[in-house]
Amino acid sequence: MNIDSQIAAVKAAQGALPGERHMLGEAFFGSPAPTSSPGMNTTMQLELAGGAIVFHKPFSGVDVANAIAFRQTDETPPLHEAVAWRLAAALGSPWQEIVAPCVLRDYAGEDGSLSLQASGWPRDAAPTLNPTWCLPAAFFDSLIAQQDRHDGNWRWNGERLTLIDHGYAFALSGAFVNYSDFVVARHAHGAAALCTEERDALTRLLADADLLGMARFLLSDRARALADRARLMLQRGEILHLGEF
Amino acid sequence: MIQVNFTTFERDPDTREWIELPVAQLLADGDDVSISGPHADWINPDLAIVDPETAQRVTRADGAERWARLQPFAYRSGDLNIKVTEVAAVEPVAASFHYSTAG
Repeated sequence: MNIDSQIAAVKAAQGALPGERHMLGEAFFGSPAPTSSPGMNTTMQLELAGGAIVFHKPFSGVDVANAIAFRQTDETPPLHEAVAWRLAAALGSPWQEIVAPCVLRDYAGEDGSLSLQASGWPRDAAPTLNPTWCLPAAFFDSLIAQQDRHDGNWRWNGERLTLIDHGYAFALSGAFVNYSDFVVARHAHGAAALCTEERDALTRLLADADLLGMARFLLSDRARALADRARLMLQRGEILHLGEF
Repeated sequence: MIQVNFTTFERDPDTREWIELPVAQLLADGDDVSISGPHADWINPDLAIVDPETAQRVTRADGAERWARLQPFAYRSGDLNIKVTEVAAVEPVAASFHYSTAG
């Protein structure tokens, strides 16, 4: 399935935010880290001239079998990495602050997603227990139909949460879910009901025929699914359940 | 026995060379799994991993060695590097957490 127009749309939209400008404009310094993880999605750890550490995932490096197991395509994971950030940026605070910034950029002639390294460590349950972090993370994962938010796919530095790895998101109805820890935690805490800022965000998303750009950034069926989830959340007044895509 | 080494890379601020730092080592032998290393707690012994060949969730209870081989599929962000090797019996490099599915 060709996603050239979606890639072009994301590239046309990115660069307005200061962090994005650095990630797009700075040269890469030196060589990538000599990664030793063969057989999985190709990911290069790189340093930008300004010192920031970033991760490049080329479209050509997607592990196709793994992507298909999640009912993604052979190219959607890097696109969805970038679109998740575009959605967080479009929705604004607090979601913009909890998602790792990501742009589409080429490295060594390979187009792909470029994500900023998150500070902190994996597997800390603290943010699942703290509504300041759990509520927006669960709302975001519910809206983007995150398929694999296990405790290795966020970072906690003792003060703030960063959600990473959005390649397996924007799932279609019936797709596989492995984990969605914040969604499960929010329901378990009896806090599924939407708060005012979440209702406002969904209303803003649905009021725009372009879904704040997402209708151009996503394949059409995945954009429709995003709108359907937003409508369902508003109708019910709460986030969706685990795997409810 | 399956040995899985988890490492991470940092930039040396002086030389700006990449330095590989150990995170954890996972050993799977039969039904037993041990995880050791400076950040052994970063590795989840109860994690279910999607096997790309079958699209099924695989846990330690489905076979410790099969589960160990799938570890690279669980961590895609790039900040954990994972190397899987089949080895003869070895002793864990340090004090380790042991998990068993044997009855």
